[in-house]
Amino acid sequence: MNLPGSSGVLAATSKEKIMNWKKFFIAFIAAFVFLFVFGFVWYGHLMHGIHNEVPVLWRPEADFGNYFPWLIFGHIVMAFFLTLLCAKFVPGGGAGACAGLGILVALVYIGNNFIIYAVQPLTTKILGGWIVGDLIMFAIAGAIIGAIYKPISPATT
Amino acid sequence: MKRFVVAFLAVYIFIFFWGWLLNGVLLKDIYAQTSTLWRSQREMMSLFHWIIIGQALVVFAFVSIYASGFAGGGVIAGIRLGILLEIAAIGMRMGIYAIQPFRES
Repeated sequence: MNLPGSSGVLAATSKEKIMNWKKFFIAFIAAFVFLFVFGFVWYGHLMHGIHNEVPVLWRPEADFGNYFPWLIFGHIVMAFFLTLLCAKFVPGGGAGACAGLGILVALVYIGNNFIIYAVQPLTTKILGGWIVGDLIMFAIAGAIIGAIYKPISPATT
Repeated sequence: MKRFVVAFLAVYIFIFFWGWLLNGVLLKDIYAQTSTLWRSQREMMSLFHWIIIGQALVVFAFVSIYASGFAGGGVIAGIRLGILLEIAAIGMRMGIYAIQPFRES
């Protein structure tokens, strides 16, 4: 059940690999920038018309600006979480393994999308757009993190 | 594989009842304050299978991540993974709060 490059036993590998905080920070920033830009293009631009089919669900444009910091902070939290999970879960790094982890994380979000669809008057187009968007976004974000983050091996310290 | 299925079922049962308790009972009155954002009770019941499928997907992904990279770490590793996943959920909810007209109070 292991993804390529994943640790298998987190506790054991954490002794062999040391967190590389500089690379972690760079990976986190790269993930945040990607998540934010992708979110803007996919959900805010490409899906704009589809979202407007149910305007009652969204804040008006004028009001949206007041809540923009929440959107930024939400993306920061997501990027931090994904980077931390990649660093802990795939201590060897690698774009492929972290992309695999990103897809698993996307499944968590997609499951939540299904639940939101059941309780909020979303259209199936919105649901479909969110599912595809989440899969692409988290797979690529995982790959970016995996390509950047590399742990410090004890021999080099 | 057997343990995967047992873990999946155990987590699914917990998440189902926790979801019902938190969202269906404890937060029910708060949700009622933003009734325009939600489907009617009857409509929700007709789409209830999406909740089942959604929760199953969340649990499948959770258990898969645990089995792939955290297995062997025991209960503590499971708690750590749960906290990480909750951080992700908090990020997503902040985004939802930014775009949907929930009340501030």
